[in-house]
Amino acid sequence: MKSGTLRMRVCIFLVLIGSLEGSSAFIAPMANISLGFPSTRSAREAQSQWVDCIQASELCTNDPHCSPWYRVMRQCLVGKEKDAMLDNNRDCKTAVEVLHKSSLYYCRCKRAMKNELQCLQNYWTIHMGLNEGGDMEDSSPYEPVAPNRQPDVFGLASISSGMYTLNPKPFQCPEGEKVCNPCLDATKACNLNGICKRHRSSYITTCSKDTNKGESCNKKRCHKTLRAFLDRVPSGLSQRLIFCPCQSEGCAERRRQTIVPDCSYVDKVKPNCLELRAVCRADPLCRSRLADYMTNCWMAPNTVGTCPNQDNHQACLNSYARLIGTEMTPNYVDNSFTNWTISPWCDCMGSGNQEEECMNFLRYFTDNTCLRNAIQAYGYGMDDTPIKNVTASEPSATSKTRSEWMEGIPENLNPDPSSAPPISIERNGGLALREDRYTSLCANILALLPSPALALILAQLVL
Amino acid sequence: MTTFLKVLVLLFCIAKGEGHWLRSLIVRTRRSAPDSQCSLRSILLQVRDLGLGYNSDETVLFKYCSGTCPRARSNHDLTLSNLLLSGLLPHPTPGELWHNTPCCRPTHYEDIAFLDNSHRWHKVEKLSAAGCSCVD
Repeated sequence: MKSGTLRMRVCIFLVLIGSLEGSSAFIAPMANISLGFPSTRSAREAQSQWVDCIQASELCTNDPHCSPWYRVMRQCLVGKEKDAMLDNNRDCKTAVEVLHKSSLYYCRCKRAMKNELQCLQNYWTIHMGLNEGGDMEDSSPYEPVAPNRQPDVFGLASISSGMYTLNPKPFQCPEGEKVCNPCLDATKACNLNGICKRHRSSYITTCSKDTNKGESCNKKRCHKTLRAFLDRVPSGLSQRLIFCPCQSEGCAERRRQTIVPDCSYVDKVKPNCLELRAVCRADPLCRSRLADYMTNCWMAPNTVGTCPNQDNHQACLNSYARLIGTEMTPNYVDNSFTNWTISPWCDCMGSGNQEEECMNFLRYFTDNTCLRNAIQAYGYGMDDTPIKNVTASEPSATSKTRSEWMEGIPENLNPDPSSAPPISIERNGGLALREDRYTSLCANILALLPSPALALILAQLVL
Repeated sequence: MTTFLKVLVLLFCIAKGEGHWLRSLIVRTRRSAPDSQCSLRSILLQVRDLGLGYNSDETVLFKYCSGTCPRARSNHDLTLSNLLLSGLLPHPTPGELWHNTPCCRPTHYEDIAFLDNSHRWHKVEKLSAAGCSCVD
């Protein structure tokens, strides 16, 4: 793989040299995306008033008015006495006030950006002062989600029918098959994609240590590989594994087993939900993901619509998926296919006089209309075309040019660029995810050349 | 200058193998039966059909290496072929095979993991080939 990455980097480098005229606007966001920088300056982001927290932190460090207070703030949050420091220490309090007026207060982080953890840590440096152990829920450190421009029919139906869908439309097997297992189909789709297969094997291997040999699995490592799976694999494939609709117990059990719950979810002890929430809030990553989930999946009662952002179901599903692999990992609790329940690994036993608060928190998962509607809408969307929702998360510019070039060319599923085999597999309704980025990158480069010149050159070289 | 650099990029990409689909777009006659050369092949199978004894409905893409390798010019191979032809060496019996040419073998492998029908996870290491080459 190393030579492949080197090739790609040299390709990018040569293109950057070569395109001196007019194509820099095309190349720069592509290079940015392939190198992983947050595209805060790209024109397509309408809501780009926010700066990402790494840049904001650099700005603050370079600003003589902001920098000393930022240092003070970081000192205040180090160590176990941070609660006392924030409440009693005058310098800390002043630091909080000053920083709230700086650009750091309004910074956000891009989901799945390159230095996500560092960005989130910077965010919580400022916001840790607020909501310490309070009832108020944190606001999400991630970029705000665009509201749904076309609220889907399912959402509207739920609004007009009075919000609560107690009798969901049952999922139908496609093309009149009597019995189907969408979760098995999702697994097949994943196994046919190189990236998905590799990351799936990786987390399953890490999470399923052989208990016969007396080894227990390493939960932290399991969570890490789970997060890597959900971050790097296109959401069309990974979410299909998590949210596949089921009509049988076998299917539902497979769905429950998707995240290898014996390692990543189940534990010897079931903690109290408020305790688990405190543990989650102590970790910047878990805290961020939990805040993001709350923001995108919880609607206050007596409001129009079931999901925030104008019934943006996809945003809720994305936030839910990003909770998997944190301390607050949620999962299906059983293999019921008619009336499933999702919950983190916690309960409300021994809450004492905080029982109501605990139950309210737990209901964000077990009794969440937005999440329920979103998952059902996902299954509903899989009715007609089983492979409809598969989209590779590549920059849009790449896919446009790629389609121009790929028309007459036999589909090549082989991820290994050094050998050129025609693959003798059955066509699965046209499912062919292109994870060979080098081909697409060079296709982009070639698209820049004028076509007659290109034809001339190729004729010269090949014939 | 820029045109030259663009041509340079184009040549670079073709030379490094990404242009193979470009070649196939324009020329379909030149290459002599690429199917028979040593390359990575694949077949879509259910895990139970792999013959390893697992009972699982999951479908995997099993990849393997097959094809002919060009005869190498190493002295050993030449001499071995000559001795075989001249009869100084006995012909190999069907039980013991020996090769006087390189063979098409995987260079590295991939693991797979799957859920069986009793909902237990399994992993099989080094099941599928991930790349092929002619090995001496």
